[in-house]
Amino acid sequence: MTLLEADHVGFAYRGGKPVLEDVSLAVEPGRNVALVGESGAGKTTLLRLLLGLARPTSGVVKFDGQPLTRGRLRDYRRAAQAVFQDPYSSLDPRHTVGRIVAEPLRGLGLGADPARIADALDAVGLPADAASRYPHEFSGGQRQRIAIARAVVCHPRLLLADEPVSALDLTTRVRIVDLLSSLNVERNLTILLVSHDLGVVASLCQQTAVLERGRLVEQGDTASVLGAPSHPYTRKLLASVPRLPG
Amino acid sequence: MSRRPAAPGRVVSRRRSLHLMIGLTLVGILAAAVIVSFFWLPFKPDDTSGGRLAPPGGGHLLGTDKLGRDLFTQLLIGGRIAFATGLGAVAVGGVLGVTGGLLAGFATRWLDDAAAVALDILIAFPTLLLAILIVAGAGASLGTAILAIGLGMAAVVARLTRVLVKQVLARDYITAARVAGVSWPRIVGTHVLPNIAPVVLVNLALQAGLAVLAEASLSYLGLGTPPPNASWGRLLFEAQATVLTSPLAALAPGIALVALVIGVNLTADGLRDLADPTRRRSR
Amino acid sequence: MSLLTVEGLSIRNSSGAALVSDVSFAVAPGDRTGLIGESGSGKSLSALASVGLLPPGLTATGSVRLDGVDMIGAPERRRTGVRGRVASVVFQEPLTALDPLMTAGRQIAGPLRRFQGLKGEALRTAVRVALEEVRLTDTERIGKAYPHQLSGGQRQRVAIAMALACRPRLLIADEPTTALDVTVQAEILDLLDRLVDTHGTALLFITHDLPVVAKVARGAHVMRMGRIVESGPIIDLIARPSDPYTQTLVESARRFDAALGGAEGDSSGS
Repeated sequence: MTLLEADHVGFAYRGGKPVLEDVSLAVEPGRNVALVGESGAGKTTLLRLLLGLARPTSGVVKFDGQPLTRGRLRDYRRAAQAVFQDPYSSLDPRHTVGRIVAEPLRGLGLGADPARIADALDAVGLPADAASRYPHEFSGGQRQRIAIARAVVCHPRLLLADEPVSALDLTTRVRIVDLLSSLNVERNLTILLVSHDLGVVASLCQQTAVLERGRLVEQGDTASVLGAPSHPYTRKLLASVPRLPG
Repeated sequence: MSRRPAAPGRVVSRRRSLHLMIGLTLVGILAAAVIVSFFWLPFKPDDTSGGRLAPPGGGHLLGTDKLGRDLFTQLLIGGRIAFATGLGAVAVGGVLGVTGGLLAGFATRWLDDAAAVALDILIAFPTLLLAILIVAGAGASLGTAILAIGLGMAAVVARLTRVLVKQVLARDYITAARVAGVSWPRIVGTHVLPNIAPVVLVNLALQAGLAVLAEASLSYLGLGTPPPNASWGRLLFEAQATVLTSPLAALAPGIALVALVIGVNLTADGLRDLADPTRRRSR
Repeated sequence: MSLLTVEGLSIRNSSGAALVSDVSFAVAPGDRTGLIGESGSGKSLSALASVGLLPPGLTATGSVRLDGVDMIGAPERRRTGVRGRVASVVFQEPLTALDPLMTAGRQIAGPLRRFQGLKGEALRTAVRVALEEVRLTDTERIGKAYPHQLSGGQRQRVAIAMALACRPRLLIADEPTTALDVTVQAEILDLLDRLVDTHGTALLFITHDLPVVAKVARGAHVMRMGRIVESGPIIDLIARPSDPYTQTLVESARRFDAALGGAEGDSSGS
């Protein structure tokens, strides 16, 4: 059964041009999916729909095979969490790290057990004493770890990650990608990755969908989409990636 | 990246803490005097035994006014009014302004546009003019003056709050909180209010200083409470005629007024740093 | 003789902490040099110091000579003259680098009028030529557009047109493609490559992205925590990094490069 599914989803702002048109995408348990595209392609809008933060103007978003209704939102939130691009904007500067990581536990009424917070910090490779400190005391990469700890503290099955490494330095990027793939294995966490970095996509995701101007132009196994792209836009994207010489 | 050099920040914050100290000292001395005035006054407010326009001395620290009332006593009573105005107007303006600003900040599209236009129109009215209209209509009393000044302040505070709320709502930690299942009222309580509070509080403190000035101006124009329970503005007005013969009668309330307003402003400026964790703990 | 010579450059903030320590490098006329490092490595500060544009509160010591002018000690007036004429800068975020209240055409006209004394029809032609040179086709519309009316890629092209309008001998590009989409990045890199070639402009390219710098630069210096840890031809740095940090950097880049395999790329990973 699919974990999360967009079924012929469309979205438009009132009186505006459609941002998304007829997008169908399925996330199977255990298979990470990459959503690739450039700015303005509608990646972030699709992610908001998939997170239940906005409703599609046409089509449905399904969770565990059933339409995602208001009543099922709470169950969905326990199963699906998110990580954002900018770790400077995604952590409230006035909260301690412990309080930030505990937020889903409190919000979902699971009880903010300090042991679970310590466990989540440990899972992302941060010391337990980080809990009493403030976000500004950490570097960009460490902040992104804090954001990931918040996302996995309630043991979700699905992680929707919006460009989680594009604001980070190259060496930090590798470490965060490694962290995400270890969480994928150790915690049975399936990742839906929104990214424009094809190297990151290829390292982390088994499946890839390419979004161009609100439409999915190509999707399938990452190996075949990136190895033998059929759509011209995918080819252009691939040709644009700067490669290492030699 | 956008890392600011550390040292200039530290210099600024050292200057800020000096501001805070001077400000709190000024406000503290005046507040202490006002508190004392509730338990002890050198003379009864309507005691005219000192004789008209007596110079300082003989128990009258600042002399007497043209009816023979002790000036220092009146100064203390005026202090009560100044503090009542500052605190009262901030309470009215703060509660109304923050609530209105929050609502406008959450409103979408046309409702938000309407709120923005309404606030701009309100702000275009000088607070003092608004207060004069209200007081003239409702009759001169301390309560009406506070209410009128508070209403004028509310518009300013609401506009500021609205902009701040919009900024905070655009941050990813708000989206993260929604994804974490946190309800909107709790998001407001735990994320929005704490993050806008420092700027709003500093602004309210600045507004408190303006409120005291506004009340003094109203009183000076004869729209405040009459003596013997006069505010500093009214004292200034009363002293106007005799300013050449007994300058102290005008200088004393003037200095008290300036000291309070400067004290409040310096305190507000110094407060900026305190509520910010990125400043509180520096490596 | 070198166009830019930096020797023993150190930069301190006002509390005395060293942000850049003892950095030396040179850029010869027509040379293409990369300054590679991650955030906080001091790469951008070193480049800014090269043109005497350090943010207030920072002080530089050592020697920086740009076309013979001492960019640390010389009076501001002399440094300004060298800056516009000899060297210009393209920044990471074209939206903040361009004046939001001025049309693209007027911004490009600025340096042309100042340094080449052009006016009237000659100036208009020069602006159009500059826009065409950065492959902006709709020159009429773009010349009249304000920065916010342009896309990220168009803005960066305008910024490049502005920087190259007066034919500087050195172009400093500070992460010029980091804020852009991959396809736009490829186009801008291509454009820079060609323009620098045509005019024989020397290029100092600052980035954290190893594959990107490999596309445009020949020699490179790797910076970490304010120091240059390794220098050499970029091909050698990637093939045989000797410093442990350079090794980590190359490994990281190789990881993502290898993940892409030989897919459509111009060369395959290891």
